[in-house]
Amino acid sequence: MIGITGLTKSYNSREVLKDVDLRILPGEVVAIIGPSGAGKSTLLRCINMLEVPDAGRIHVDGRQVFYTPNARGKLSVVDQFRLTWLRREISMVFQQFNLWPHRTVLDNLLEGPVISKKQKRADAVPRALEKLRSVGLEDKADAYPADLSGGQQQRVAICRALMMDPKAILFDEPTSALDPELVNEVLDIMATLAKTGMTMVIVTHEMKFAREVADRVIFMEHGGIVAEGPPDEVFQHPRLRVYASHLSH
Amino acid sequence: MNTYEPGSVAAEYFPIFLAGALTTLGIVAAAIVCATVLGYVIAVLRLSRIRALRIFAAAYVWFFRGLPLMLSLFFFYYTKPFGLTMDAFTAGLIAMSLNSASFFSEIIRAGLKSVNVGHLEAADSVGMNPLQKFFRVTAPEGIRLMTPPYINNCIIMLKESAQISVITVPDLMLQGQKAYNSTYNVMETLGVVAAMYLIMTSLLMVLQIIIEKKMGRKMGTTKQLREAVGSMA
Repeated sequence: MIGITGLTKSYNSREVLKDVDLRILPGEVVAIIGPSGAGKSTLLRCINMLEVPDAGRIHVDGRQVFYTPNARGKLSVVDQFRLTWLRREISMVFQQFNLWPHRTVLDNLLEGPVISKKQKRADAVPRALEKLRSVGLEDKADAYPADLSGGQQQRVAICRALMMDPKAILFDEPTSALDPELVNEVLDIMATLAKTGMTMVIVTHEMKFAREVADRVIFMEHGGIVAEGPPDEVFQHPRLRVYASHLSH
Repeated sequence: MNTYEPGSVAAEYFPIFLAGALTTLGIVAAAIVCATVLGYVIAVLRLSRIRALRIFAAAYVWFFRGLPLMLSLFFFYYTKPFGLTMDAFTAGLIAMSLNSASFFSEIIRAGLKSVNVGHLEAADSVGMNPLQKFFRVTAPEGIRLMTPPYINNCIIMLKESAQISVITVPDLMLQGQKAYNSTYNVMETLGVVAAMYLIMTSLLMVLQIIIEKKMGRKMGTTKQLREAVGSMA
């Protein structure tokens, strides 16, 4: 589904990703864990080109992603037009939700299919309402993001990602900005989604979630992958045990 | 010498004042449009990755923001710059546009810079191209942030436009001067002219309130209004 080889990325001569290789299979749920500054989010954001790697090959669904960074390490304008296909195949859920504050919940869901994918609004509306119903927010369709709690906003953001009918969804620390009591309502929805066979790549600090829901766990440190494999195996890795013991104190 | 009854200047010269007010409105409206377009270009240059463009834009702002409007007016009207002879209206329009563009560019730059990066990345993440991103996210969010200083600057332009009377554009101020030169009733003339300026600036303030209401936190109402109007037609 997603293939990454030799991915390298630096910010001002500081190497954030060092020659990272990664393969994600269709339907796989992969959790990327590790300390802050390990390069987890950068790796995730390179997959849909929100960050542009300095070097490395990326394949998505059998297509190679060709890219040229501009001086700010972002996509050139030409590539932004050329690579819309990539963003339409791979959705993203952000730490800060990033719902558009000037649009209703329903309109937030419709932007992707209607504006980006040129689907008919009349066809997309029932799908959007269906998605909202599945996360228990059908009565919030006409509300604005500012009227919702963080957990509700993140559930809407997951719906927005699903509206693209993506081949995979990237989650960038989806619960890190939430109050503790709101974390579970988002994790529950992600766990349900994982059971439907959606391909998911999740950067998270929720160890319990990673252990229970992920098919595979990737542990990163200092811009490289230290350990990867089934959760039970990876959680026995000595480096990870050191990291996890820091977390629990 | 004639003596005038109270109220007679207002009555006799009202059509002339009205013509002057329309000239003022016309030149200010045209200058706002030109200055906004030019200001947007300067703002984008100022945010450019290319250093030379940034410096050019900064120099433009430095130059025109630092010069009196009156000086630009005299330059374009009296010196026949680059061999161009232009009428007073054109000279006034060019001077006002160039001058105000420096202020608008700063307002627009601030607006563009304060658009939330996360909201732009969200637009990327659903596969919008740069044009869609601009019209669906940057513009609506930026306009909401820019409206108060933008309208404020428009009001300043309207008032400052009185200076174009010195290069003989027949605006409201010049018509007022003509009226009191021939009637010697300065007080009443200025009163009428002041009232007309206040009406025009008040309209802009009302416009600001309307835009802010529509584009406030719930900017979605703009769209709902559009749809409501569309379904009535």
